[in-house]
Amino acid sequence: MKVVTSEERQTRRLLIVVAFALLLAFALVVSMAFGSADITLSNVWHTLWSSQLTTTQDRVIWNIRFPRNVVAALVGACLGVSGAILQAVMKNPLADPQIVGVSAGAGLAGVVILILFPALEYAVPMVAFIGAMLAALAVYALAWKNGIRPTRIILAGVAVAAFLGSGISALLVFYGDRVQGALLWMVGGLAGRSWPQVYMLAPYTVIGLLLAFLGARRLTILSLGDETAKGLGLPVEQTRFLMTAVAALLAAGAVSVAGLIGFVGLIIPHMARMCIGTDFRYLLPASALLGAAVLIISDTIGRVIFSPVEIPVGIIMAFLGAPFFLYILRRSA
Amino acid sequence: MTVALQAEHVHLAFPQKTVLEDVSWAVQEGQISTLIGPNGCGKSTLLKVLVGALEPSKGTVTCKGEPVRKLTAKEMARYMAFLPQAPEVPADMTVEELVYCGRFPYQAWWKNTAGQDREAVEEALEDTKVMHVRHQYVTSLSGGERQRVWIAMALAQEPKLLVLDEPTTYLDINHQFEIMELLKRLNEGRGLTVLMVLHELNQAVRYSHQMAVLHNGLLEAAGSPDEVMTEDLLRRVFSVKATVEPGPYIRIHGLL
Repeated sequence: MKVVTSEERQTRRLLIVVAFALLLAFALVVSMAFGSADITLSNVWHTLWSSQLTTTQDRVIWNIRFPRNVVAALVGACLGVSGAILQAVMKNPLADPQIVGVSAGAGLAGVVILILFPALEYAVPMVAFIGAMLAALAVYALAWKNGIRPTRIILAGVAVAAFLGSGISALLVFYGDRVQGALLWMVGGLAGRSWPQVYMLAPYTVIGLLLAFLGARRLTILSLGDETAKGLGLPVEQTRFLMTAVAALLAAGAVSVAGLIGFVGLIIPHMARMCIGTDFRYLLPASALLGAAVLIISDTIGRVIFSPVEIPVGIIMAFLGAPFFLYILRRSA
Repeated sequence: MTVALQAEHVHLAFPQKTVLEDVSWAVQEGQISTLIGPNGCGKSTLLKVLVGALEPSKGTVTCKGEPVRKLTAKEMARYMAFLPQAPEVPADMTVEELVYCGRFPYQAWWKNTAGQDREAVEEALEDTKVMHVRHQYVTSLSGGERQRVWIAMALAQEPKLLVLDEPTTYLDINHQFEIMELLKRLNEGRGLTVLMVLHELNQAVRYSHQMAVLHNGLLEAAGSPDEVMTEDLLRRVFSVKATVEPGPYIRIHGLL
């Protein structure tokens, strides 16, 4: 049997991260050649490097397709890393951003605005972000009893999600004539997202990812179990608390801009882990890059497959994600 | 002789029942100390209180004279290493990677500790004789090797005190002795203080300098194996008929 040394393992992991980065760059650029306006890859390349926008194609690329891809990348990276953190912290392979209440909080806040105050539609991201963070705080408060236990968080998350979900359902039933916008929000999509959303989401992403990467080593230690981690000098409760907060921040930013896109936070960490293993110094960047690439690719499929009708990326993700989810379930059982 | 860990009048009560009652015991530096007692007597709990993983309801635990709760987690981890009974490890972690985790209490993002880390890890792999499996997955090893690997991780912490919760429980007799001999060698060679919970009485007697017997949350007896192991104590605590032969060696004749 050939012995693989630690150095070789490190190099391999680094190469996989680089490969994911290349995949992201490829998806980012090539996907811009797809869409209802007829644009070739050389147009895209030319526009990205030119200093001014002269043709309509230039404007389509620079003001519509490129920023939309950047939003997709940021959302995918946030959800992927958020899921990777939560699966580690909750010690549960089925954990994802929904379990800290983020999706339900953002969902209800968004639906309230879209249905009751449609004139304030522009405020949806901000209100959704507040809703997401409030819901995460509520889950925390309910789960807190001499520290945070994973099972209590999961149970509190389920309870809060069900409670807020009943609010969403009630609104949808009472205002059946106005559900269109709300439904799109609940499914999650990137239609019409452009530079303003990039500017809104970028700071959360940068700060969140930075904090996540700083905690990578701690997450690896936590994977040895609470008792061993404590013995190694890791403040387990504090780590769990802080990293859950980072995950909530990342997910709240993502859903506030793109709506309730499911499955990214669940399946991306699993895909990344299959390729790269459990060392979080590599797993977190890999989840970010893979999440970004997969969301861009899914969004492109959604834009193109039934063109000119657009399928929201949330539907594509769930359509691809659900079978994969079952595959994981059967493999781990 | 200096005291490594000291429990003074430690009580621990959970809502349903009292687990420890007025336990006072000192672990001497440089010795092998063993806690024994029947199932559910509170010995694992006392171990967790001693390493600071559980806070006593009453009483104090001091580490070299300092109250344990005043020490930071990393300070504690640099003084003592704790191996739980059934530790977890991710399926894709190699022996070397796991042993490197033992360096966590020394690492910080502003410090370059690579040189010292490497030295400590190499020495730990050497001392526990797991050098030949360093690039294999921990989960692929046999029970005995795996236990040695965990001890290697603990040694990479460069502790003065090694605390183990039933280190031989899941091993066959050969590997049980291998672990006990390893601990003895580390105690004599490195001057490592060892504190552990054991089930096998004759192992405890043979390898320990000090023993403590817990029974229903109370400290029944403490001292050298000669002082502690009496036929009367075995009858009272373990409900067995036994004779203590010179050595000492405990021969169990049957249940009471």
